[in-house]
Amino acid sequence: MKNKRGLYLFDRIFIVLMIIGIMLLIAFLHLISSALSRGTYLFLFIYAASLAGVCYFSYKWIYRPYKESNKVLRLFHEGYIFKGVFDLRVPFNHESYLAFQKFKEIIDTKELIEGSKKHAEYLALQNQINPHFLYNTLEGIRSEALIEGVDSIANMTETLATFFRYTISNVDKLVSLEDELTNVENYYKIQKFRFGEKLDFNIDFQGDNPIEILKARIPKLTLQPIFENAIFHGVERKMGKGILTLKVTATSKRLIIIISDNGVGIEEERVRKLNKKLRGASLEYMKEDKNKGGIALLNVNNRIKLIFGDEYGIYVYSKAGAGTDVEITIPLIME
Amino acid sequence: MREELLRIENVTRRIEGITYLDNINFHIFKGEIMGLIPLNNHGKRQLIELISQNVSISFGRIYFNEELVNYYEHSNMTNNRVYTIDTDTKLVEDLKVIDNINVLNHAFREHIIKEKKLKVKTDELLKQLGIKIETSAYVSELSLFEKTVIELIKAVISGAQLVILKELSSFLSIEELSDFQKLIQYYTGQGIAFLYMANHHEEAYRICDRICLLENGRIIKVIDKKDFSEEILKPYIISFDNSKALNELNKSAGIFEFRNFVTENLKDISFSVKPGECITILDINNKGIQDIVEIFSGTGQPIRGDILLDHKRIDPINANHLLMNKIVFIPENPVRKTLFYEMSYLENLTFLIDYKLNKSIIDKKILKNIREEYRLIVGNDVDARDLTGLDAKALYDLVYYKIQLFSPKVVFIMQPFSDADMYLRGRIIGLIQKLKKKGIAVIILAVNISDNLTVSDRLLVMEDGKLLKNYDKKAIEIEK
Repeated sequence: MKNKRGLYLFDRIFIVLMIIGIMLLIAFLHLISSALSRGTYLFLFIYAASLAGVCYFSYKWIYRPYKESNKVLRLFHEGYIFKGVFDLRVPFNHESYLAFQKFKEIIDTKELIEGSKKHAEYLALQNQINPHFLYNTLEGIRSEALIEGVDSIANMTETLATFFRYTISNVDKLVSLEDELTNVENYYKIQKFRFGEKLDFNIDFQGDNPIEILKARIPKLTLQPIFENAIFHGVERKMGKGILTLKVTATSKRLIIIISDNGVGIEEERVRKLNKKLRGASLEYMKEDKNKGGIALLNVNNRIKLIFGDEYGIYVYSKAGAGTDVEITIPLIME
Repeated sequence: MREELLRIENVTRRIEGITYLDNINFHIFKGEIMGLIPLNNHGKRQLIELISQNVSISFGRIYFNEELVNYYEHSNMTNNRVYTIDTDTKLVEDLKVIDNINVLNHAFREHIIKEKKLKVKTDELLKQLGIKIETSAYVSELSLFEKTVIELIKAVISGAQLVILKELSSFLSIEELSDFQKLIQYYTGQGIAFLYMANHHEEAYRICDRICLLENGRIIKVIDKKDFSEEILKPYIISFDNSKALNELNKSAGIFEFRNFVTENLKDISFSVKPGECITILDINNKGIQDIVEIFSGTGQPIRGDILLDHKRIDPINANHLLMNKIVFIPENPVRKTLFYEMSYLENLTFLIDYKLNKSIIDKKILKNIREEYRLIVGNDVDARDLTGLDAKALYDLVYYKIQLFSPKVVFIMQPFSDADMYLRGRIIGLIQKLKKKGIAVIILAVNISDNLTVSDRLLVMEDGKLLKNYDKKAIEIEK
């Protein structure tokens, strides 16, 4: 690309500045060599001092911000940051600043369109399944089971109905932490039918007022996919009892949720690569093989980063044989 | 709701192509003691530097007091309100305690120093904290423990919100450490946070609220206080248990003895060591073993008492005579103190050999043989022209092989495991075992137990300069 277009604008500016600098230096050296009176020396001294000042000033004022902006653009290109690119510390000029803001707007609307597209897909899915039909059927099974006196089937059907209702119907972007936790608990109950005593789950609130924290807002279906991951990639393959823990910590600015399992864990190199991917928001993961695992993490991470910004998201701690901790960070938003 | 003091988010720090910190993520709350156990030392120094000062980073964000202070685009090089405490005190030795606390301090705004007023203020503060230190004394007169206490008080008064404590147990004795930890706990009540760096989880478990493990520049695990257990750490640490390597003592040969030894701080010490035996002298309140170190460095002399080797008195007792009698001393952090970095590996290795052979010029043939012999053990490191390119492991090998080549009868080792990460500690244990196998008596001087028991056959406990207890190997196992 560089060959096609020749020199970039900023390269040209730097070249011209260099030439001017060299010319000034030559003039300066000439003045020194031909200096005659004491007055000229004084002038040269002041001139040299101010020249050094100008050099230092342009380094701090122009060169550093230029380098920093370049770094931001490169990080954007490499996929490490996403929204950070729109607020450069020192924009190149007013027009490029406006252009960047416009891009931001376009991307936000694109996201909106994408969101509504997804919304529509949800609706379509809903229609296909016809939730009323599904709920009615499940209710039917439940009452039949109750009549027959098989409570376990009745409970299981009820939990399944609640789980589906939450997953399919409510398409609001943010829900309360309480709703999310209930959904996770429902999911756990369903899995418990399968795993029995092999699976154990507990929720742990760190801090003084858990009831207050339960009202915090969180994107819908953030916890359940990760919880599902912990069961199928962590605990299921492990011998012995699988213990899942969900820890909630609230600070004045953030909500930190850690989902831990004592399962098989992930080997070092894969954790490193996974965390590298989780660092930025990108759509790369969609192309990957769905059975590979970790897709749920990337999807939730992407949603968090798109909604709240680059500084929030997911980080994974894991070691083969030592279990996995998935740390989810979102801003603390109260009702 | 808890307040975060420090938050490090996806930080990567690369210097000259080497990644020191690799996408690390952690936070410290106000009033929290966060433990940091480095499984190896890679990235440890860079992390401390990064927490203290907003130096440039390749990627990530750092928040101090919920304020973005450093991020990938711009690092302003400012200092955070962080103070680091380690062995090297940052107090001015030639000034008084009150001046160090009050005057050498960013928060001090007065133009005239009113010494009396400051003394009253400082005395009151120390009384409140339950500390007895003479505030008009010069810092140089204080013990290491007292200096550390004063440094912490100074840090808090100058407005530090996070205090980094670097391996306290390597220079404070068990008793001092427990006193110091009380002071730490008092300050956490006031919202000061601590980053407590320790090489041993037992030590960190006792005081920390959470612990994170650092390996290869990555935080690989954060553990809550509730989950502190041996079990949870098992997959992360290596065990040094190689007690089967302990060989039978060689009873026929000579014996090394300290008899009725008295110095300023040692009170009538007597003990003996057999060839091939290793003992640890554990100094609970850090009062006696410094005197032994001073004798070896030539700055101290015993008041009374004898050192006997094979029932013969060594007379007079000074550093040179001890070396002539094949008694050597390895100081703490030997790679810094006993090696000559601009000299070649072989020159370092054969440094003591002229004493052994009693010749000042060594035959080239001998040197060649030594080179070939050690090539089998250390590989091509033996050809190194200077030591600057070698890693810590190779340098520790060199220190111990140098001693091995000299083949002394007795080796004193001061705190062999201080400042060493987990892998290095395993290595040092192996090196000490090798000395024992050669029939050398090893005496470890320590202020904390740490890994010393793994190699020791006996443990002598010293308090206030007196030897109190003598545990043998079996008793050690039971105590463990």
